[in-house]
Amino acid sequence: MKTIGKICFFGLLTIAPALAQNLQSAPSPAVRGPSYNLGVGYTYLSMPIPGAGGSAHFNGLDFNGNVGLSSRWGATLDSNYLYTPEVLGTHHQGYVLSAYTGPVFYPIAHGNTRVFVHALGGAALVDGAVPIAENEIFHGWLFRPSYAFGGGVEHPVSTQLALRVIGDYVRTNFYDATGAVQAQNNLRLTVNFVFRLKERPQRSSAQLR
Amino acid sequence: MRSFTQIVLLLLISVTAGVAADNQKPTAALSFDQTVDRVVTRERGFVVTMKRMHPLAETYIQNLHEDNDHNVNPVSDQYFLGRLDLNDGIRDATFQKQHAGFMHHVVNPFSSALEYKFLPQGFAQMVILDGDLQKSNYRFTFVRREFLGEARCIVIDVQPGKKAKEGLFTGRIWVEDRDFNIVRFNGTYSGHPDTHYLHFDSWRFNLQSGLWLPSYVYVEESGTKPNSALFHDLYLKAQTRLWAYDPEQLNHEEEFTQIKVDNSVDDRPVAKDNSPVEAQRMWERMAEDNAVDHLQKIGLMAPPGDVDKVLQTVVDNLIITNKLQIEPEVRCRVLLTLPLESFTIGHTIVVSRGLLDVLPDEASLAMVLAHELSHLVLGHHIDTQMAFNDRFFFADTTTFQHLNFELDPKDEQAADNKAVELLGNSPYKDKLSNAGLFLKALHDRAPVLTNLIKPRLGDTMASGNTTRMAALFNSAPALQKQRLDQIAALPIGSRIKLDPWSNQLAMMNAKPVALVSPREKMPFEVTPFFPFLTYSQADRKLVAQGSVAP
Repeated sequence: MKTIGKICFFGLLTIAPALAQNLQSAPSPAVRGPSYNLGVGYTYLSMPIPGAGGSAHFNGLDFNGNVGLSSRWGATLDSNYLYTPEVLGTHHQGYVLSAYTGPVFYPIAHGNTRVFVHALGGAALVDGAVPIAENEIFHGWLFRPSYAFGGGVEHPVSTQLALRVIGDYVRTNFYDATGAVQAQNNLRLTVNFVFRLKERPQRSSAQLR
Repeated sequence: MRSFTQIVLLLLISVTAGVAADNQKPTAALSFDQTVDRVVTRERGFVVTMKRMHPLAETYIQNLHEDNDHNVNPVSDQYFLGRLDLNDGIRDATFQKQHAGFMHHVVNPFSSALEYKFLPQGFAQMVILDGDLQKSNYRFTFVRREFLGEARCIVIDVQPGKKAKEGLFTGRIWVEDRDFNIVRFNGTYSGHPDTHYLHFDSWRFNLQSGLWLPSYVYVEESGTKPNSALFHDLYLKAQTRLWAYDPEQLNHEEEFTQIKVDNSVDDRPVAKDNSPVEAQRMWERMAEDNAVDHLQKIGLMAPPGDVDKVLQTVVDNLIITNKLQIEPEVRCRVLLTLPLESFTIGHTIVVSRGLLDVLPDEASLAMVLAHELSHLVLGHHIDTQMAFNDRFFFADTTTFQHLNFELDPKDEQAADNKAVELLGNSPYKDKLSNAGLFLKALHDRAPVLTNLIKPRLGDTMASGNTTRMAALFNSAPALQKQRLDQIAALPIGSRIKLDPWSNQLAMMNAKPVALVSPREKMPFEVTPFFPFLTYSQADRKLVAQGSVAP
């Protein structure tokens, strides 16, 4: 947890000057308009299993929808399903089903590439197993509130398609070997293809003269 | 503090004029690179000057739709009026009729998530090419030389450099070759696809010696999917006009030195006392004068001038032919804003610039003035609370909330009836069919151009299914949009020319143009600007003096 805090602090230090410069210099747009996009892609989650001395590795699909509220702010609805065939040699499969929503802030935009940070809240259903003794495991599922925060980069590859890479810290809960509920500090990496449902007008009479 | 600001501003203008005068001296031919250096230097000086200017900025936007027959028509509109302030980035304090309440934001906090929302400061932004113009950020390419009116210009294409940040201007600039001021720029700002920078054509006028200031901006965007309801994009035309630059206009107090006391003794021979009736009239006149003075000082009303005289002539025609005796005398003034409205302040008839612009002929003007004159004839009185000066101690931007010259619908109906009677006795009685056609055209567009029709201070020309002067409306011939010889209403900006420095109005000096197709009728529509640029009188003298040299 301390490491994650340090990473966040360092990230903020790096972003702040760029943010200040970026916010000051850009001209005000004349229109604030709806900007929607849908994202679908691959996601990976590394989940430490409490008391087991290791992490389970999940792979799965991520679905999200975004709405732009201003040039700097947006909101997102994010859900994903992650699966692992075996949790830490327990011969028991595991999965995580989660849904989050929250604000997105775009501190830096360079050309058509945007950097964003987001803070998400929601709930996660974690199904997994914990080794108790040599041939004994505890398995079950737990549905609890969950949250995530992180950021990423979005780069358009065409007028309607963009590539988005996201890194998140995800907080979920699961049982430890004693059966007590323990918090889990997970790391998640997501790569999305983003389909823009609205784009900026590309043709204008002023350009056609 | 205000005096200090004025002194600084006058100094700046003097320095700018000095630089302009210096530039009149014969100089060796400049290379293109040196020309660009001068342009950048002048533009940076311009930004400093603009930060001390607080003109009014009026933006009117028409959203358009193209039907299956490729006819393009306005489908909605938007209007902003604000005072520009460039000190902390672009700010635009807008004049609002009603203050958006807390509940508005609670109910609809993210209105732009569902529909496009126009931002006044974004349109105001278009008067500035780049707030921090650096030569290194751009690539400059010479295009040609060209005259824009009197100004001989160097035309240059400007594009952001490969590694430049977003939000830089990309397009074309016109630089007058006498002082290297940018007088026109045409393009947009570069940015992310989700940032809506519009395409614009921004014009500056030589308002003082060596000082070119933003006056007109035309904006146009045509969407990529006009036939798709769900994903339709921005399809609009807009005009921004700026005026009220003169700091003297904003100084609400006259200079003390201007007060001349010639004779402290009133030597009128008889009757020094005022009867109660006279006192009442004087009291009402004082309220009227206070309101008119206030509107002029904040830049919403034009100073007395030539256009007032045109209106006065029409009013006099109505008064004389109807044998009316009106005391005190009737005066006419022009409100400088676009929304179509007219009203009376006591015995002052006020017509908006926008309404004068779109009226097709003198008979239609007579119709508007006859309606207002009828209010005076019928004795519809002014709110005498305005005789107290403290009633005007409010922020300029709340003027529309504090001043209201709208009259009761019953009084409006009575004025309509009386106006028909006045017009029936006037020289305009045989030419009223065009006035009725104007009302029909207004009725036709009123449902979509709600912000153009909505009055800010006075009486509405049309409301719901009814228009002013229903009798003329009903007796007018049918509106035939395809007939080229039936001009029911003109495009916006057809008649009146505004001096952005002094707020003086003049009638436009444009030659009549024969229309080629019904598409060119464009009633109540936004059109591009193409002003004839001229040098200020002082700069003309400088050139004349220079040319006499042996």
